[in-house]
Amino acid sequence: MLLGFTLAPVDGFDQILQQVTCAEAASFDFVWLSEGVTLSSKDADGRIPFEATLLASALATQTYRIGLLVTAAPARHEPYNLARRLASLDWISKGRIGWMADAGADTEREDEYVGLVGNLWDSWDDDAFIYDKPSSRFFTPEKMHVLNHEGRHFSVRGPLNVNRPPQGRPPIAALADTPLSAKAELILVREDASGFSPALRSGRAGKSRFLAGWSDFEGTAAVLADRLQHERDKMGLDGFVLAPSSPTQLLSFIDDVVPELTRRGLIGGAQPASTLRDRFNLPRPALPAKLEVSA
Amino acid sequence: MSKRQMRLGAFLMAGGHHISAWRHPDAFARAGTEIGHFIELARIAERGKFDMLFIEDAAAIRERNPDMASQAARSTTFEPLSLLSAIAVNTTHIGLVATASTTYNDPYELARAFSTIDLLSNGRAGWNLVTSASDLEAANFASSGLRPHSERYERAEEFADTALGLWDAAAKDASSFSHHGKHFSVDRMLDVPASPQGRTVMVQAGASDVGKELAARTADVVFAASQTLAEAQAYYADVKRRLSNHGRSPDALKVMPGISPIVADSESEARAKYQALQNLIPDAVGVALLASYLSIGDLSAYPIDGPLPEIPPTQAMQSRQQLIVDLGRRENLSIRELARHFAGARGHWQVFGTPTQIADAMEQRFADGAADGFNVMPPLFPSGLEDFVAKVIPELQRRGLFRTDYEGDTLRANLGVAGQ
Repeated sequence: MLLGFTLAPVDGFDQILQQVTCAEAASFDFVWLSEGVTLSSKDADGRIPFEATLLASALATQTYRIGLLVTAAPARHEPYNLARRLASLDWISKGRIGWMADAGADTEREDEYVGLVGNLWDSWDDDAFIYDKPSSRFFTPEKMHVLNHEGRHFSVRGPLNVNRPPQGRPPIAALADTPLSAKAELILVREDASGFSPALRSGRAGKSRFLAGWSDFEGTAAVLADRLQHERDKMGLDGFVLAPSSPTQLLSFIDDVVPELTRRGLIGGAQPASTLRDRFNLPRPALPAKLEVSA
Repeated sequence: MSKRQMRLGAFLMAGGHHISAWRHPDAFARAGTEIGHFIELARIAERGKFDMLFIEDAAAIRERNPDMASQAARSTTFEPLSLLSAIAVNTTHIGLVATASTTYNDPYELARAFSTIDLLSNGRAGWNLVTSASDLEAANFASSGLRPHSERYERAEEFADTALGLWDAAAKDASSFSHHGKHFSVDRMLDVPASPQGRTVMVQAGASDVGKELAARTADVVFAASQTLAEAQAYYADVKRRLSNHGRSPDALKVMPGISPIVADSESEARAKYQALQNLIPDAVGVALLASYLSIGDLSAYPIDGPLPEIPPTQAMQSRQQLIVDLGRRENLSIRELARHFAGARGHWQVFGTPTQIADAMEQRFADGAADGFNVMPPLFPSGLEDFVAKVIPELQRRGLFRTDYEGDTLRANLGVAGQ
């Protein structure tokens, strides 16, 4: 069972970091810096007072294994700038970044935008940078790729001025009931399951992970573990994104429920993962792509 | 009243400022992807009590030709605002200044980003405002409907005013903010709390008239590139004179020219260190750079150890071309030697010598109406910065010209530039 969480509303970086390091110690898979996007009707009041991608950068240097899923809306960033930002974050976090693409109104533009960002991340082969001092080759010229994207909404030459991210392409998350979910490797399901269907689940089987929001913290550890397990099995989910309304609620869950989930073998079995892709068991797209040889 | 104090910036770059620094055995060649290296450089600068560190930027690779680009370390690096955020929580007092272009950003989002860095750093953020002119950058934003060349500065002015307005509204705890101009419309406040320093510190590097005016009106710090003392004095006087037109005192804006220092126990040793870097410049790279400075297509057809051929003068480049041609003739330099000279210096004020010699050169410009401080650009990292901190800073401190400890908690306080 994958476990992520959104921050309980607090004022300062130190209090945010405290939540994240506690969750990291309890082997949470990721924190979602959500910029107010919520999966629950119980809207956690009080937004976190930092821009999400820059908060992620700061957190990345103070943590070492927890994933960092950041919301960044295509409406708020030029695609080249956001592709740079996210690639840079993947380097700063050593491969722990995911991007929640917050959808707006223009479906077609956003679809092109997300594809473009992914292609910009492929500007350099994985092994382009050789840092060869004697021959004075910082990179191998043939391994740089000028994109020359000419689409309906965007014209971007490239290449990106960041090395290929450690994860190749950081995983992209989207809400289940939005068109971007068709491109997403992480699909976020609302707590009331609106927008989620067995058809969507089977359509993306093997390609995406499904995580539902969770804001119910009432009951004993056993009761909560029962509910989580039941919901996961009923919906065919891969995990949950907890939305604690206070730091105390988060810490109580960590102290009481996490050990119960561990005892049941629902979490904590896997090897410590190094990248967010590893945690979600999503394959890393290599560049150049390895030739697929069918068995 | 205590003695006037020098302001110092540490201009950070992966590897070093020298075009071939990355090839040096001691260079942090991978600093462009290893955040630990940048954090280490920031900490060295903070140990040296620098007012700020400085990050340049462009929203594109620097060199179109893949063969040339592959021989330098300029094609990829960290995105500057995520870099600054990472450094912010790993330092405590040093200012954090990064470059961002008004041409390819949105003022609300950029103001929000710098407010975030200000909050993460407890009031140490600074923004080096630039406008973008390169074709390579324009090609990454071609579709945005962004901006004819001529409107660059008009947009920059409105952009700066919008960002300043948003920060001021937050600092005053205003109930609302509204701006409706030719380029931007904003009808909401920032959702990031006000910084302890009020406005993010404003840095610019205006060389043109409009640039100098914008700086005189809005900047706290101006970076400059001047080679000779006379050039530096002229620029300083020009910028300071403009301040009164905007109701600002001469102290409100700090002029900080760049300096490229190499320090050693003797001048000849310092020059030898420089020569070691010069010897790392690949001939093809140097000659291509020289050809571009001369505004001619290609020099590779001429013998590299022979003299420059006759150069047809172009209107745009006359003075720089003449400088190069005259130098070549006067000192009987070959194409290779000229190439290395210009590829190495790249227009910076270079000072090689002992700590005393470097401090003397800095003190002269500081005292003689040419600088309020300097943006230090070591050719090689980390040793160039380590040497400066270990050897030049103590000499400046000994002369009473530079702080021995930070005075305040914010960049504004340490720079001595009040809020508006």
